[in-house]
Formats: sequence, C-alpha cells, structure tokens
Amino acid sequence: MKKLALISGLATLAATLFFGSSVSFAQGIQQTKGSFEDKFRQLDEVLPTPNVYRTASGQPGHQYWQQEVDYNIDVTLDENTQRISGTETITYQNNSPDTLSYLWLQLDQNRFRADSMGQMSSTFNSASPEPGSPARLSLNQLRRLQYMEDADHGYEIRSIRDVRGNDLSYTVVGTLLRLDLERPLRSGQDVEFVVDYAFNMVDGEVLSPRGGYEYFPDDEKEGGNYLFAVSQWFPRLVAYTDYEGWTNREFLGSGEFTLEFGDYEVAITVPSDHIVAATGELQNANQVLSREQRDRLQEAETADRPVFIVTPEEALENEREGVDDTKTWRFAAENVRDFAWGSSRKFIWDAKGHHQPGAERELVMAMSFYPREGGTLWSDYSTEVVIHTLEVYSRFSFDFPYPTAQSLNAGFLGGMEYPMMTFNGPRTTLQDDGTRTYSLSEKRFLIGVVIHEVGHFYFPMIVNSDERQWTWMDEGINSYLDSVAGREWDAEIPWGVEPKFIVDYMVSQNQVPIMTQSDSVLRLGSNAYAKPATALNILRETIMGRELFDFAFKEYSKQWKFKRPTPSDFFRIMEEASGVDLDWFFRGWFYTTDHVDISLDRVYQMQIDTENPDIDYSRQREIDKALPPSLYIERNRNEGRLTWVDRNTDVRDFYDDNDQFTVTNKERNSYNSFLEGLEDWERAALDRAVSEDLNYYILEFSNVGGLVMPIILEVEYANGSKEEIRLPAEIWRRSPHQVKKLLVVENEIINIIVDPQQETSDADIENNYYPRRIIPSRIESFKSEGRGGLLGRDIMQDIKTELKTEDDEDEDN
Amino acid sequence: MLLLVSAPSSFAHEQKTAVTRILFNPNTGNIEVMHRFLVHDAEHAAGVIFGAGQKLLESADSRALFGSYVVNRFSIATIDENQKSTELDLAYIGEEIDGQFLWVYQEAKIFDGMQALRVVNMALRDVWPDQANLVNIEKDGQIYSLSFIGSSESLLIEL
Ligand SMILES: [Zn+2]
Repeated sequence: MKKLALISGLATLAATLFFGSSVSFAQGIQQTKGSFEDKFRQLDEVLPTPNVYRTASGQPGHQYWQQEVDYNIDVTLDENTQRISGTETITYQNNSPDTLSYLWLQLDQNRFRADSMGQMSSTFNSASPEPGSPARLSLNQLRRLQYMEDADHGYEIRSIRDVRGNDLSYTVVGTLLRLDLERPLRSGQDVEFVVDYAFNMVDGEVLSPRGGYEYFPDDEKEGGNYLFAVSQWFPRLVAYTDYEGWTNREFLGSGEFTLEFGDYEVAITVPSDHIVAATGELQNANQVLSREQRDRLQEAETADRPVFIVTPEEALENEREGVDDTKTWRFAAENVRDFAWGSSRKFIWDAKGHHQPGAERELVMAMSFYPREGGTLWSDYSTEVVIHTLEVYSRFSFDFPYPTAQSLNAGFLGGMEYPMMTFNGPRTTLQDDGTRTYSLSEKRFLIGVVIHEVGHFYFPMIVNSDERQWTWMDEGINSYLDSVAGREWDAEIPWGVEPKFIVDYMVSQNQVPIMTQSDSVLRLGSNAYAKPATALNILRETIMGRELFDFAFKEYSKQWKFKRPTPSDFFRIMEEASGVDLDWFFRGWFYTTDHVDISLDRVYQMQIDTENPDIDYSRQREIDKALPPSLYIERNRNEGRLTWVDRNTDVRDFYDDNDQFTVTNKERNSYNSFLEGLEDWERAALDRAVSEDLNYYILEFSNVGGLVMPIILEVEYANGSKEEIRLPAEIWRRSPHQVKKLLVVENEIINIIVDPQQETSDADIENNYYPRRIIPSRIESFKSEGRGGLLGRDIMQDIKTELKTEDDEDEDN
Repeated sequence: MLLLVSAPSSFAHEQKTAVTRILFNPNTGNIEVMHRFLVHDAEHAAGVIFGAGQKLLESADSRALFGSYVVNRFSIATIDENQKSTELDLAYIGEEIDGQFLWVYQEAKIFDGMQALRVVNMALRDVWPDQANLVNIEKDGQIYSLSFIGSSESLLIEL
C-alpha cells in the first residue's frame, strides 16, 4: 500500500506541473505523453468567460440586459383563400449598451418558398434505383413536389414604414430581413415602425409545418371546413444578445426560434361563426361570445371538471354551414416571446380553472379547443392534462405566471408549443357504426404530447433559451420534466427516460455531441431529446440525489425566468447551487460521444497474515489441502497402484508425522520478537485486524465506454445477505481507464453485480457480473419465456368473451 | 415541439426513429436481429399500410401484420473474401411489446467467411421518407453502425 501511494503521489505531482505550465493556452491544452485523460478537467476553459452579463456562478450578471419588442397587430384571415393579411406596429426598445444601425426580422414563412435555402438544401430522401430498375418516388413526395410548384408561399412584404408613413429601406435575405434605420438607435432608445404584409398559409397535411391549415372536405358544409393553427405568422424581431449579437441564422426548419419578450395586442378578424383561441387573454368577450358562453366561462373558473363553453352538439351545429360576415377577436398578452392562435367553426371548447393560491397569478384558465374528430379523448383528458402539467412543472420551477394555458387540436402535426398555446395532434378513429374510438397507444400519446407541449410553456417560453442554437436546452430539459410529470399522471404508462433506452444510441458510431448547433445535429430525437433527458434523470437519481438536484434546478429556473440562459449558465448554476463538481458529468455527457460501459474484470480475495505461525501455518496447510491433487497421482491411485510408502507402513520417521507447515519454537520466538519490534500503533492495528478476521477483496474495473460514472455495486455474501456499495465517479480521476478498489467486508463474497438497477446506461451488462454470467439476448429470452406474455392482449375485445359455465363444458364434452 | 419534421406525411408527430441490433451471438451460434420501434410510430405506420384502426397494444393480429411488414423491408447479404454475396435466410421469430416499444425478431445461423454485410433496412422508410433507422452490428465486442437516413437504402459494412 505504501509503495502504491508513493507512485500515485508522484503521478499527481507530474500532472500538476504539466498542466501548470500550459494553463495559458486554454483550449489548446493537450496531453501529449502517455494515455492519461483528465476526465475531471474543469470546464472553465471551454465555457465562455464570465462577464457583467453572465456571472461565473451561472446567474444573470449585474448588467444583464435583453431587448424588448412590443407588437400591435391587426390581422385578417380569409378562409376561402387561406390567406393571412396583417398590419403590425412594432416598438423596439434597445436595452443593449450598443448602438444599432439596422434591425433584423425573421420571415419564417419564407422557408416555404420554392427557392428557400431550406427547400434547396433538402435532400432526396429515397433510395437511388438499383441498376436496371426504375426509380421510386412515393405519392407523398409527388404531392409535395406538385404542391411546391403550384403554391405561392412566403411573405409578401407590402411596405415597411416609420410612424410618419415614410418608407423604410430593407433587404430580404432568405428567411431574414434587414431593416435599415433612418438614424442609429442608441442604447436606451426605442423605435417604432409599421409592417404591412400577407401570406398564403400552407396545407398542414402536405408540408407538416409547425402551423398551417387543415381541410375537412367531407364535412356537411358546402365546400368543407377548415381548421387554422396559425404560428410564425408575423414578421418578428431576431433576438439581439450579449453572447452572439444578432442571432440571424437562416431558418432551415430544424433549429427553432430565438426570440425577445414583449407585450402583444392582437386583433384577429375571422368569419363570424369561428371560435378563436390565442396566446394571452380575450379582451372583448362581450362582443364575440354569447351571454351563455360567458356564464359558462365563469362557471368553469371553479369547476371540478372541465366545463363546455361550446358543447360538441353546438359545434356540430355550427360547422354545418358558413357565414359571410366577420368578427374581430381582441387578445392581449404581456411579457411573452411569441404569439400563436387558432380558428375554426368546428371547435368544441372546454375550460377549467387552475388555482395557485398565493401566486402572483392565482387563477389560470386551462382550456382546450378541438373538432369533433378529437372526440372524448380530448374532452376527457386534454384540459385535465394541462392542469396536471402546470402543477408538476411549477413544483420544479415557479408558479405559472400567465393567465391562460391552452391545448388546441390540429391533426397534421405532432405537437408544437407557443406561449400559453399548444397545438397537439392526436385524434380518434371513426368506426363503421359512426362511433369514435381510440387505441391505448393514441391515448398515451395524447397525454404525453399535451404534457410535453404544455411543459414548453416553462422551457423555453419563460426560461427563454436559444432554440436555434441549442435544441437540447428546451427539448432535453423538457423531455426530462415531461417524464417526471408523466410518471405522476400514471406510473403504469411507460415513459421515455429509463437509462437503458439510450444505450443503443450512445454506442452507435455515427453520432455527434449534444453540444452541437441544432441544424447540424444528426438524429435530433436521440441527441437533443432523449440523451439529455436521460442525462438529467441520471444526474438527479444517481449522481446528485433528488434534494440537491431539485434545489439547483429550481434555482436555474427562477434565476432565468423571463431571461435568456445559455448552456454555460445551466452547467454553472447546477454546480454552484448544489456544491457538487459536475464538470466531469457535463463534459462526458454533453461534450463527448463516449458511452458508459464499466467492466468488473477481476476479483482477488486476500487474507491478512497474522504473522503468528500457529495461525498462519495451519491456514496455509488448509489452502494446500484444498488444491486439486496431481492428475498423474490420481490416475495411479485409480489404477490401484500403491506406493512403497503405502505398502511399508511400519517404516516411519519424524517427517512422516510432521509436514512442512509444522510450527517450531524457532518461528514462535521470531514472532515474539517481531511483536516486540512493533510500535504501539502498529501493534494495535495488527491486533485489531487479527481479531476482526475480515475478508479483503481487490476489485479490478475497466472503463470500456470512456464515460466516467459512479460504480454501483451489489455485493452478495455467503450468508445470503446483500449490500449496496456506491463508489463516486471521482474514483476514476487519476486513472480513467482502469481502477482497483479494496473492499474489506465481514462476510465472504460470492457475487458482485455492477449497476444492479441499471441506472447508469451501462451498455454491456455481461461484464457487470462477477463471477461472469451469460446474459441471454432478447431473442433467447423471448424464446424461453414463450411469446407474447401478458402485455399486448386485446383486453378491450377479449373482455366481451362470455364465461363458460359447467353446463357449457358438459355440452362441449 | 414534439419532433416534427419537414417532410410529407399525413402524420407528422412520430419520432420516426427505429433501432435495429444485429448481434452475432456466440452462445447460440446465431445472427440475431432485433428491431425496436416506438409503439406509437409503428401503430400509425401500420394504419397507413394496412388501413386505419390498427391497435398494436391491443391486437396480436395488428402486431403480426406489422411484424410481417418489417421483415419484408429488411435483409442482410453476407459477402465472402471472393466478393460473393449470399442473402441470409432470416427466420421470423416473432414480435412483442415491451413498455413503449414494439420489438420484431429474426435470426439466421452464423457461417464462416463473413467478411462484410450488406444491409437493407427500409422499414417505415417507404412510409415516411424522413424515417431514420439506426442499425448497430455487434460482433466480438465491436460495434459497427449504419444509419439509414436521407437517400441510403443499402449499406455495406466490413467486419
Ligand atoms: Zn418539444
């Protein structure tokens, strides 16, 4: 032991010297000798330097700033042409310390132009033909091609004027627009301008956009009906930030949005029989709702279950025919980073108040809007799931600060989030008998998607991370929390973040680190949703523990509420608030493509030598006896061949009665003088070890996957008892590839399992067992357990089977 | 957003990723093929292929239909040192639900001289062009990965 300690002491010294001389090179630091990797190297040289805007502790700095952009919009929806026309007055408040001579606006609808970078850079996602066989093009692809050829999409910017009506000059660059200011906008000043614009909405069925229209050609109404889910529908400001300046990156479709907070007043003019749902609060209920609807809304505030504002019957009646006149719905929303709305004469509308006693916003109206195609799946669950999500997320972050929380059913998309408004896809299936049913999987999907999208109200709609740059900051964090909320909804439903589910992705060869710009991420679902969600789950359950994690996470949420955090702020605050060094964790999980695979290679058992010959020699005799006999002698014996000694037992001497383990006084005397030579503390240590007679085991581990993680052991003893031993990840700090650990235990060990609960995403389970165990593959288990099992029976159908009585059985016989 | 992708499809809310493990299992002497789909993805795909109303969690018939579809979109050819290619005769073992996943199993005997594999994995990729299939091949402790994304239909891996 002493010798070992000395060597590692030297190693540390050498390492310190080496790094000490290289610190000034920051990211250029390289280990250029040997194979040592500092998996615990602090992240500060990778993270941006803290400054007055963002502190080293991960909080907004004392001069933190962000811009404010207020919008006043008049918009008209033409149902027959599915065209949006709007006039927006934008007030831009420059809170930055910089002077701006131009502003950038986002023209997201331009992504749907046939000549957009998004379209031109999209690849042909189908196989090249084999030689001699025709190329294949799916009907879906054909429809999309034809649609893009026929349709006229993208913004028509009619004018941009200052408040006196003078035209301002601007330049469109793809999905961006640079607006040149008449005079530079200094720090603290604001500027107001008016944009007149229009665009044709896209068909959601064809392009699968984040917003668009859905057409119901088979409805009773002549010409069918439309459902509009309207988003990215007005030219809006690009964010100007302290860490990137203008975040003017072309919208390619994958990386989402980087936006500023501001106040919105929006007047939406639609056919007068439409119901409109929107971000914020309705301002003119008296003009657009009936007396009865207003009464129902009030009733809903304190109801136990959602109350229909528009009943299914009323909606069905409403969608049978159209109107020629229009109505204008007025909404206001304060301190939001975006605004979305939906409109249709098909909407059923239900609502229920969510109460937050003592919060700045005590009453939040949870509401759902859906056509009859949503059916009871929606009326039973949507609004309730919204409220459940608010309850869980608020517990982990802060009270919900907005007055409404809404879920709107648009069939062409999975789910999409906006402040106070989500669009969700699940639908029921129409049966031949006219009823609408849904499968268990669809039900789980509705619950899951509503939780997920409503969760986005917090991340990134309030904790306003930069989606275009870092998808994981909203999707990863939100996927982690949606599984928390999901498991609190129904523990029976399988949710996505079990550590073992991510293993296949993490061992795969073609992947990129989580810390990759959104549009460059390969396999976005695994990279930006599942892997970071799993990482956070492991951080909470295995590395930090719930108490420390929850405190730090809440601190992150509260500090960055209504502000714009970056990844480094998250990494820093999680450490600062918990007191746990996590650089190794974030480095491994977010900055590399390593995976977890810890192997228990060898186990040695050892016993303390007492130095007392009367004890040690007889022990050695036992060990010698236990050794297998020589095969040669064994075979001689089996042949019945007796040795000379066997045949001549009358001839014996001293050595026949005293083996090599016989103790003499010579050894006893030397033992006694050994004891006399010991210092008092040495004597005490030896006496104690001898009297305790413990078992000593050396465990040899190797880190096959590269990612350092705690080593969690389940040790099973000969007496049948089990013990869990958790060794912190720091065990790898001086030798990241191999470590040894000495276990001193009372009982004899018969079995050791690494990561017995599978909580670390360890890829290879077989090398987690000592002694080794052959782990059957899925197919082997499937074959041995028989097919199917209890899961996956059609109990809804089978439950209709009649129970056979004894009489029936007699008849059968 | 819940994984939304810029490609044509009537259902845009699938995760649209599947994982296939191809395991050279020394314990059984078999090449074992284990396809993992999210049940919800698979159910919507089954609806597109076999008509609405497929219930993968509830109906063994729906699952069997989906399983037969998958094995018809998947193949492995082995290539020996003389560049001779032999299509593996993959036996269909079955399919099962495990939590949020639907698994489909196939296997074939390992034989000598497998220098390379040519894998075709079009499962769901003919339903949604943006479906991404990851294939991990595990042999002698090594992992080789194939990504069926974009225009790739048939991919070769040297073992
Ligand atoms: Zn999302």
